[in-house]
Parts: sequence; structure tokens; C-alpha cells
Amino acid sequence: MDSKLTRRNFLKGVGTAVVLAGTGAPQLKLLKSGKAQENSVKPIFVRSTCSPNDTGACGYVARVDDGRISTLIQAADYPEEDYNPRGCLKGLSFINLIYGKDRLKYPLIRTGPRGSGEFRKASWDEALDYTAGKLKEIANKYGPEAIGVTVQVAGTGFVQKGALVGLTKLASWTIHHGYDQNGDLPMFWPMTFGVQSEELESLEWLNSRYTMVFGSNMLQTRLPDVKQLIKSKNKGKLVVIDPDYCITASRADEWVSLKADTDAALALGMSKIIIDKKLYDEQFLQDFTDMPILVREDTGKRLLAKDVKELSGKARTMEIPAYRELFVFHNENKFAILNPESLQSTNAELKGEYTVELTDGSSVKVKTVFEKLIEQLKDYTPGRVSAITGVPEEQIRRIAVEAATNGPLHLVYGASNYQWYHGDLKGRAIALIGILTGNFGKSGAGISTLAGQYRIRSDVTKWWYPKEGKLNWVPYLHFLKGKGKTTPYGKFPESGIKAMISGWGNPFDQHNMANILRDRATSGELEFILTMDFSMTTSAQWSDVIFPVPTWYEKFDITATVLHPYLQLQQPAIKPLFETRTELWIVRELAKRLDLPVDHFYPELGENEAAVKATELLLETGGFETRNITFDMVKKGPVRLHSRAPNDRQIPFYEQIHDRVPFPPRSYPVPLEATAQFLKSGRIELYKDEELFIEEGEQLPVYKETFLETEYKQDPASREKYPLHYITKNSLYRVHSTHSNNPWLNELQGDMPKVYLNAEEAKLRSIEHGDMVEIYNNRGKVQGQAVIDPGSLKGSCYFYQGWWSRYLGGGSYNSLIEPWIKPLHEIYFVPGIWSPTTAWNECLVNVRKVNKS
Amino acid sequence: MKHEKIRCGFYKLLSDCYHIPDEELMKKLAGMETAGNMRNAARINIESGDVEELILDYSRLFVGPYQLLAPPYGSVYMENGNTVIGNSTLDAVKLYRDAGLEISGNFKQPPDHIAVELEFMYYLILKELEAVEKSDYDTASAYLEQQKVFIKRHLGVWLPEFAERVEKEAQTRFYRDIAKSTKEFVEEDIRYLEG
Repeated sequence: MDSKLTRRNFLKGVGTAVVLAGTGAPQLKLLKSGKAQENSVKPIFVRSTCSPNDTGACGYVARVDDGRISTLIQAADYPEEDYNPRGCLKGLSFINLIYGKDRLKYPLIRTGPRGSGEFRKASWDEALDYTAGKLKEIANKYGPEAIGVTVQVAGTGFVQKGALVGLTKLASWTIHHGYDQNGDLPMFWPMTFGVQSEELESLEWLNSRYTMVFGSNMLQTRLPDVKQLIKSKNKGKLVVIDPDYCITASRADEWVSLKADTDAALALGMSKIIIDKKLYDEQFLQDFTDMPILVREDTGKRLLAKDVKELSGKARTMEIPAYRELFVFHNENKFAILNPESLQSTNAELKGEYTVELTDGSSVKVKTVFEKLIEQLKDYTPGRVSAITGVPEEQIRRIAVEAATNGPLHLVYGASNYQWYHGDLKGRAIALIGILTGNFGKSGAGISTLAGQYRIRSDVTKWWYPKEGKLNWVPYLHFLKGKGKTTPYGKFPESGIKAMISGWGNPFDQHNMANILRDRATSGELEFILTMDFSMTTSAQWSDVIFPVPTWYEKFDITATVLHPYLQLQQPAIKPLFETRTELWIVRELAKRLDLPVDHFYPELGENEAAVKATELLLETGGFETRNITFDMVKKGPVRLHSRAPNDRQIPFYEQIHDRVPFPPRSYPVPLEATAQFLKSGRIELYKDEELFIEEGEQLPVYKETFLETEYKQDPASREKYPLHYITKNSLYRVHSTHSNNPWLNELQGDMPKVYLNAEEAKLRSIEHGDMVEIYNNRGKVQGQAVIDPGSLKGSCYFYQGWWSRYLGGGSYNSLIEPWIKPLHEIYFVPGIWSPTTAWNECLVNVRKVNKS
Repeated sequence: MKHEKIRCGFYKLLSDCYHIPDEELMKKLAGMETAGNMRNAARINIESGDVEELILDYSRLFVGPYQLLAPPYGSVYMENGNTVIGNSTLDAVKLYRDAGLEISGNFKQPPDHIAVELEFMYYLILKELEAVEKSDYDTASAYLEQQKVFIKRHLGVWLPEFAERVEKEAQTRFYRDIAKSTKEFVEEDIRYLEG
């Protein structure tokens, strides 16, 4: 072999080259003469906000030594002591990701097959030109709406994410809302309360006297705030309703173990007891809910004032907004029009059946919603509910009375509970407990859904929506299904989505339902895939172009969370590492190359200055919630957003109940009309009478058996073939798939994905603790190490989601899950509010032992 | 003196070889009078008409896929957590600074990149040579001392493992030979500096 080097001849040859180098000045490419500086540079400290896609939003101070972040320290600078300190091991070890070996350093362009991870380094100009060229080509061929953009969880960064939304609008591309894509959307909220979602800030948890947690593993997923939950036990009781003896159940005063997905039956059973024992809040139901509204027995629809002979004349004279409707109630022996624009006391009768004469001369029988509810609840006797849920009758009776008599009552409705096909029914049933007992609008009372850091807290439209262009909203599930209806917000592109642009997310692990994304990437149906990230995630690996971006310790942004109401900045402690550039800069550069107007993005400013400017704009135009809040204030530290409640506390519906302002409050960024149409009565609505609700028998919340309309319908044999529920939980060690590559956290998990099984289920399959097993169904498979867990429910198998594919031998845990769409979720469409939402838990599988790989 | 000049030139050449390859580098290598393998490798690539193949290999080894086959940064080998920009990196920066150098503003890679460390050695030797020419032997020996410290604390520590990875993972003979040459040269240079 001639490659054997003899140094002698090598050196001899090079010697001639040396002469050149030795004669001139040093030709240094990488180093340059610096000042003779002192080596003991003083450390600097910069406050930023840890902003992965969880609800923490914990303030951190980065200590910077010599241009490098050496330590991350909990800021603990919240004015309210109970919020201090906050920040978990994930946040503290984020340094491993900033300086991790997977950190993306420069733009990359794919050279190998999709997913192979073969890329070449490109300059920014080259990567941007190439990307703009591809996007233009696709837009010319299929129309701009064939380019689909996903923007994840706005709350973690309104500026940078807003910039991408702005570009999407300018280019008239399609946009998918991250909220329904993630299954974060609890559909009972828009159905019942007309809002996207609501929650009590965690300090308010301390004011609750009875807390019921329905399927939310808060001790694992709400680490910085869970101390308030534990503290609330000093003055109140904590009841955890969960099939699994999870860590949160273990800290409860009482654990209610029920069969998976039967929460609706339990909540309806409790409601029946509350009504039977007359423990409900009559005044609350009269004034703030639809309970007194009369429903026609012939059509199942609510009686309209314009159809009632004695009211139609008056109805014609009443002016109401288009999103309202005039319904009818009964009191003092007469029918009356319920004013949807007023919540003043009416003394409406809650119970009653009447016959009413219509304008056409005919008569119909009508009943109050409350009466209909009582009828419906006849089926939910403690005996039957116990049989459905597996919860003892005695326990159902007792907790129902306790919940009704020990307010304020706080109901936590977890994503693991609502991410089912009939998650909306469960939410509506659980909400009923709070509605009957009048537990809204006061300190410590309400419902909290804590999934995602999603809810936009103030008006962002000035920064998000430049004047030109149009956003084409398409639900993510329609993209996966490859079809969807035209809505007032957008149309499904004729060619389907041909280009995917994503940032702040990892869809090729996290949203690869039924393996659709990978299949489309492999087949070429997706013609272009662009990812912006700071780490080489699975999605980056599947992309055609990767734009590397700075972390939240390298740029400016502004954040807000659902768990504490503080606006906080992300601030650069260090310069963007390597060749990373902010999303705002990338957007601006792309806009130029796509011949779009760039003035919206402050082209005259550097990327940091532009981000500061955008923050100032967001604060100035944020409306009531950000009034008088300036950039300088936020620069000094966390600033509480304004709310309608005393001391700016986050208490859902405080204004509605206290000041009797009709429902719903506005859900940003859409205008009130968009969401108010869901509550035509201006009240909390338990009764829904749109056609499909009636067809489905879901006018009122009802318990429906799992899988009948999904797995069993799609494949009747799945009952036998796939007898286990597949529950993908959130891990203590990751924020979804962020930190999947954090070596410290992986060490704590034995560097191995786990599959949790009940002992009986394991025995049945000859699986022992530590065996490698495969979870499978006809859609996909994933492998992990078996853990025989006495806390896991029989008939289930648990997997902690978020592992990048590389840790799963190329597997994909969401490939097992079908993108089910419940048709009711499509009768309206308001992006991220009333929209088909992902039902991650609606999935059947089996498990088998495999050879160690 | 001749040996110092050879060392100096070779460090410079090796540093150049760890930049993204281009025609200029190929020409430079081809123009050398040696029969060394590096030149041969380079000539093969020149004859093949493009440097694309080398760029691909370079990207695979040093730029990414998601996990670099041979990360070209010292800290990955010298720190426990496999991190970039660790304490060892800061120490290298300190040594650069002691020599009156800082990282050039348009260089966006970790400061302990192989190309920088090799270039740093080149610089120290160059300054040593300059001092010798002016018969300033105190300064010359101070620069020699800095070379010893740097190679012992940095380059010499991680280079063997790095070079082995390149040799193992490279798909082109060019990078296998470069890695082998670098390793052998640096090993020899350590012996020289210690001797």
C-alpha cells in the first residue's frame, strides 16, 4: 500500500513551501492580533427566560465568563415570593444543549437521501438563495398555499415566531396552528365557555379548598409550580383522578383510580349526586349559564324568541350583535326573552316543562336545559357509574359531596385526559361539576387546562399580521389527511401541501402520525422541507435545508406562560454561537429574496435592535393586558400582565361573574366575534344544538365508550389483535423532544427508552423486567426496555414520548397513532380554537418481546 | 533553523488542510515538489475535475450530519460531557491571548478548532524564527516554551483520538492521509519539543 507516509520525504517537500510562509508577515486566517488583555475578565450576568415548549417560563441568570456561559442560575426575582425560585434540572442543564455536540452551527443543505442525515455546509447566502428559489418554484407551480408553515407555541417567543407568521402572511402561504397540531386544544372550552382555554395562575391554587386533578401528572410536568399544589393541601384537599398510580396520584390526599377514558361517566355521576342532593348554586345557574333556556322537544333546538308568538314582535325590535341569538326562558308564569348582552339577574325558572304557541299558530312542548340535564343524568346512577369506571359507589358519592361543599373548587383537566376522540365530552362533563357548584370567577375557583405554553395573552396583531398578504389557515390534521373543507380562514390547497416549513418544533418525531410525514418525505410528495432549530433534531435530519438559530440565551424575545402571569424577556447573554442567526433575520432575508415587502421587519436595524423594536411594538399595541408596560420595565425584570381581577390575578371569567359581562372574554389574537359565535346566549353553554351535536346525541355531555368510532370501526379485529391502550406520557426528563439528547438527563434514564407494563400483561407475554420489547400495531412500531410497573393499569402500555428517532433505532412512537378527526370539531373553524385536535391516546397496540438490539 | 522552518510550514499547511477544501488548496498541494502522499491524493482529486467529493467528505466528518463523525474541536475530546466550548476551550483562548492573539471576527467556529490550533502552532514558530533572525534568543525561547505548553495542554492531548476517528470514518484517501500525516507529525513534534 503506497499510503505509508515516510515523514522524511514529506517534510523535505514541504520545506520549499515553508520559505514562502517564512518570508512574509504571518498569514493568519483564523487568529488575529489582539490587545494584550488581562486574562481575568470579570464575569457578567444576564437574565433570560428558559423557553422550551412547557409552561414553566422560568427566569434564569446566565453567568458568562470570557464569552462563554459557564452556569445557569435560577433568577428567583419574581415580586411574589411564592413564585421563587423556579427552574428545574432541564433548565439548569440547558447548557448541555447550548454547547452540545448536536448544536447546529451553520446552514446545511441536504446531499444524501431524505432522512439520511447527509448534508453539506453552505453559506447563508447560498442557503437562503436556494431556499427562496425552491419556494418560488413551488409557489409558481402549485400556488403559494401549497407551502405550509407550522409555528409552535407562541407564548415562548412572540417576536421571533411572530416574524415567521408575518412572512407567511406576506407570502400568502398556508399556516398550521401548533395548538391543535399538538392536541393541546381542549375542545370543551370553546364549546362551553367560548374561549381557547383558561386557567388559574399557580398562586391561585393556594386559595382553593378542594382540588381535583383529572389526568394531569403535574408533579412531573409542572415542576416549578407544583409546590403550590402541594401547599394547597395545608388548607384544602387534593384528589387525583387517574388510571395510573402516577407520581401526582402518590402525593394526593385521595387517589381515585378509574378505568381509562371513563372520566365523563364519573363526572356525570358526581353531577347527578350534586343535583339530587340540591347542592348546586341556583343563582349561578340562573344568571350565568344556559340552564334556564327552553329547548324544543320536537327539534331538540333551543327555542328562539322570534318563533314565539307572544315574543316575536319584541324580538324584532331588540338589536343584538350578529353572533348572538335571542332565546327564551320562563319566569313568573310567562315566557321572556333572554338578553344575551346582559347577565343581570332574571329569576328565570331552572326547572319546568311548558307548551308554547309559535308564530305559525302551532304549539310545541319545551323544557329547560336544566330539566333536560336532569333527565339525561338519570342514566348515571352511582351503581352504573361504578360499573363503567371501576370507582366504588361510596367514593363517587363522597367526593361529589365534598367537591360541592368545600369550595373554592379547582378542577385541573390534563391533556392526557382530553387527548382522546371524545375528550371534548369528558371536558364538558367535568366542567359541569364546576358549573353546578358556581365555581367560577372567584379566587381559587375554576378549571385549568395546563397543556402547552400556548395562550396568547395580549394583542399581537400589529406585529404578527403585516397589512399585505393573507394567511391561509389549514388544520394540521387536514394536512396529514390530505384533504379538508374550505373555511372562512382558508382553503385546503388543491395540490396538497408540497413544502413544509417549521421552527421551534420537531414534527418528524412529534407529529409523524401513522408515519405520514416520513412517507411523504421519502416519496417526494413533500417537495421541500425547511427547518429552523438550534439542535440536529430528527426533523432537521429529514430536512432539505437547515437554518441554525440561536437559543434563548443568544437573542431577544418576549414570553408569557399560563402558570404565572409575568411578561419576561429572553436576552442575549452571549453572541449567537457559530453562524447562527435569529428567525427574524432569516425571515427578513427570505422576504427580500422572495420579492416581498420587508419594511415590516425593520430592515434598517440589526437583528437584535429589530427584535427589541418588535417587543416595544407588542407592548405598545398589546391592549389592556400590556397597558403602561414598557420595554425598560421588562428589561429590569418580570412584569405582571394586567387582568380584570383584583391585583391583576389570573382568575378565569372574573369579569364575567363579578361585573356581569357576557361570555366569552376575547381569545387573542382573533376578534371577539370569532369566538362569541360559539356562545350565542352570552352565557356558559352546556346545551349545544348545532345539527351535528343533535345527530351525535351530544347536545349535553354524555359518556361514550372508547374506540367504538375509531379503532374498532376502522378494524374490528383490533379488539383482539391490539388489546392494550397506548399512552404516550410526558417525561420528567424532557420537554416533549427537547433535551432528548441531554447527556445528564439521559444518564438518569439509563440512556434507554422504557415501556411500562402491568405485571399481568407482562407475564401474559413472557416479558420480564429489562427485556427489550416492541410496541406495535398495523400502523407502526417502537422499541424500548420493559419496566414491570405495579402502578400501571392492566390493559395499558405506557411510553414516554419525546425520544428522538436515533435513540429508538430509527423508530417513531407517533407512527402508531392515527390522526382521528371528530366531525364535531369541524363544524366551526377558528384557528387553534375550534379546530380538529389531535387525540394521541386514542390508540390500540400490542407488545412483544424482541431480541436485544 | 531549517527544521524550525519545516515545522512552521507544515503546521501552516496542515491548518489549511482542515479548512473546507477548494481548488486553491488542491493547486497548492499539487505544486509541491514532494512525492508525499498528500500531494498524490490532492492530484487525484484535481484530475477528477472537482473538489465536490472532498467537500462532501469534509462535511460528513467535520460539519455534520447530526453527529459529526470526527468533531474537529478539542473540547469534545477533553470534556466529560462531549460538549463544545468547554473549560478547555477557554484555556486555549487564554493561551492565544497570552500570545497577543484573538479569534478573528469572521471565524464562527469553536476557538479550539483543529485548524486554529494548528495555525496557532505555526504562528508561535514563526515568531520564534523572527526572534532568532534578530538574535533575540530570549524571545525565541519564550515562544518555544509557549509551543511546549500548548501542545502539551491542547493539541497533543486530543489529536490522536481525533485523527483516528478521521482515519476510520473518512471516505476519501485525501482525509485519511491528512489525518495520518497530522498525527504522525504532531507526535514527532511532541518528541522534538520534549527532547
